[in-house]
Amino acid sequence: MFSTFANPHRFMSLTRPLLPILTVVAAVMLAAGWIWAIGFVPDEKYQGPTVQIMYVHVPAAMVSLAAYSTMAISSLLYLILKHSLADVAAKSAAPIAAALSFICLVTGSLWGRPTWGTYWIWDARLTSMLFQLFLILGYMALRSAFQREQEAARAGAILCLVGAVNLPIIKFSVEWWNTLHQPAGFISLTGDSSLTAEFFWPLMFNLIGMMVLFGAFLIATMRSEVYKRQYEAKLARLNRSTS
Amino acid sequence: MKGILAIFRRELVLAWAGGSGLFLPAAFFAGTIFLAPLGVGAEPGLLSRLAPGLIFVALCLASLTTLERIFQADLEVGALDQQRLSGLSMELITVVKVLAHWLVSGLPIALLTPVAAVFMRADTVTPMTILPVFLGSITIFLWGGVGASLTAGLRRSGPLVALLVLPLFVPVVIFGAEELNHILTGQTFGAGLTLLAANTLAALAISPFAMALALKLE
Amino acid sequence: MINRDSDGQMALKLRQLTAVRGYTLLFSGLDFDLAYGEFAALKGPNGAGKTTLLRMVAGLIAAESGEIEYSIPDEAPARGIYYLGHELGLRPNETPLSHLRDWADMHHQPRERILPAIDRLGLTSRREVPAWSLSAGQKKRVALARSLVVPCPIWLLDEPASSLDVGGQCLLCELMTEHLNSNGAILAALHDPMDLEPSRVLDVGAFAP
Repeated sequence: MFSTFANPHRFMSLTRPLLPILTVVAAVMLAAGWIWAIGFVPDEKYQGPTVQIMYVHVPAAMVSLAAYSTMAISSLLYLILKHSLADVAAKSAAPIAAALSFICLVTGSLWGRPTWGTYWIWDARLTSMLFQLFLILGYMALRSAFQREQEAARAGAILCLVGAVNLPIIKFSVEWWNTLHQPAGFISLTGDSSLTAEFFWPLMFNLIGMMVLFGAFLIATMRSEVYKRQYEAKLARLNRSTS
Repeated sequence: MKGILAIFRRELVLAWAGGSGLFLPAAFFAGTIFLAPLGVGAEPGLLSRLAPGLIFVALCLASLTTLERIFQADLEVGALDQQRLSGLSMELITVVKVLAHWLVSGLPIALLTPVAAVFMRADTVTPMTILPVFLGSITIFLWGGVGASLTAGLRRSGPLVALLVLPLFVPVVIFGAEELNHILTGQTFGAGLTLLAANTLAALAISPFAMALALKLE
Repeated sequence: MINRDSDGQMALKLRQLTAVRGYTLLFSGLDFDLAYGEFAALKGPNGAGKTTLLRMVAGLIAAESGEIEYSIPDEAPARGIYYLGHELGLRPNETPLSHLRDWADMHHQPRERILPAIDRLGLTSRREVPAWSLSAGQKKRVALARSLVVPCPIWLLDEPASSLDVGGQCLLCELMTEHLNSNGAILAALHDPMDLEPSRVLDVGAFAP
């Protein structure tokens, strides 16, 4: 049948029980990760207690990238399959990705104050995160400028894919330009990483917790978007039959 | 070939006759450059250090003054529909439109660069100064064309286009300004030129498909 | 699907076409065949989807579902479709002459047809005047001149008579008659009856949900 009216029954019935499970898992993981990080991890040698911001900052950064990837993959699927559920996924992931990018920037700047002595340094990671945020805001602004959902979906999908192609170029150019960036390697357990096991495991808990939380938020937003579209379709049908 | 040349000629003639910003972006560019010393002071060392970055920022801003009209003018009178019926590939049509638009509003900016560099008290101003801005402006217009194609059906889309294409301009500004800095300080070509050219090629390869797809929107 | 060899006499075959606007289903399951030499009129109330159907057949918008099959003679220029919509395709700074010259070149058609076409549509004295100073009817005449400069076998016309004066409407009927006599096909959305009697009527409203 036509994709505009594709009724995602299976998605809705599948996610109804999934949503509370994901929410509980995310809450437990994040709570455990936080208590562990604040209560049981010793202060870092050079940075002291401020390093605890890492447990929000790093998961936010990584999950926001995952959220943008979700948008890009959904956009590609939408352009190929023309299935409205793919568009619902892309549209719903955008505000979450924007919020995570914003959290990453704010925590990064708060972390920067004691570490670098200033709220903002043109650090390569923070700078490319800033432009990722702009890409997502542009996506949301473009979508909201269209009246018809199908037009918004197509324009948004194209922009999102062009952005996804450009994001690595932007990251590369910013890293190339930047000479003052932090040492890389937040997450590798092996090797001479600055991150030892006692920091790594609570970070892992927070990262997975944040990932699951993203999944829960995404599903909740998608469900409400599906309800909204069903309502609008019903309204259009009613208007037609009364006129 | 004759068909696509006809579209190219038509775009050029209309941009010329319409005054839809033939020298407007160039004038905007010059105005921005002239305003800067009044804001930051006219010390030669300071100005020449700022020159490459300022020239590229001014280029980005100047391109935004007319970008939104590349496709809008044809879309709203229905000429784009007629061109789609011509059987020519939409990818080719969009690139030709962008290049014609660049020729009348981007190229004049590139040609103005040596003058801008002189006003910014740069050390060495050679004809080579044009090169980074030449490549950079093509890239900016191609990426900008993507933004223009996505918003062609919308009213007052100027500010929206600016928001959409701003992140896409980042690599151009970085590579271009770095290379311009090389040239203005009398050094040989650096890696910036290669990277800038690579970005131009990427824009040339990707943007036509995005623009063609976007303009098939109803 | 485009069939370049017109073995049969069918210009268009529409199969199970469905159109959607926003969340509204305009029509569904629309089947229609148009033969060469035939003039079919599109009827239906406002908002039934006449313009949408014409644009769909022209290939300017995608159908939600269904298929359109074209049979276009080999010698026809480009995609063989002449589309006359509400927007007439003239930029304010174009003159009728420059517009038609570009259109001839774009479709690899000889420029010799331009002046007779302009003459035929009564635009000789206005041929070098920019379009912003032309009236809506005069712009429509320029758009009609395109059909003479770039002769296409299938004509899709959306309210072709609107904004034309009496003389213009007569001219339109003449052009359409000539096109049908030279074995062309016409699908036109019509509100007011024309002097030219359509051979068939397609009521889009009948396919509304």
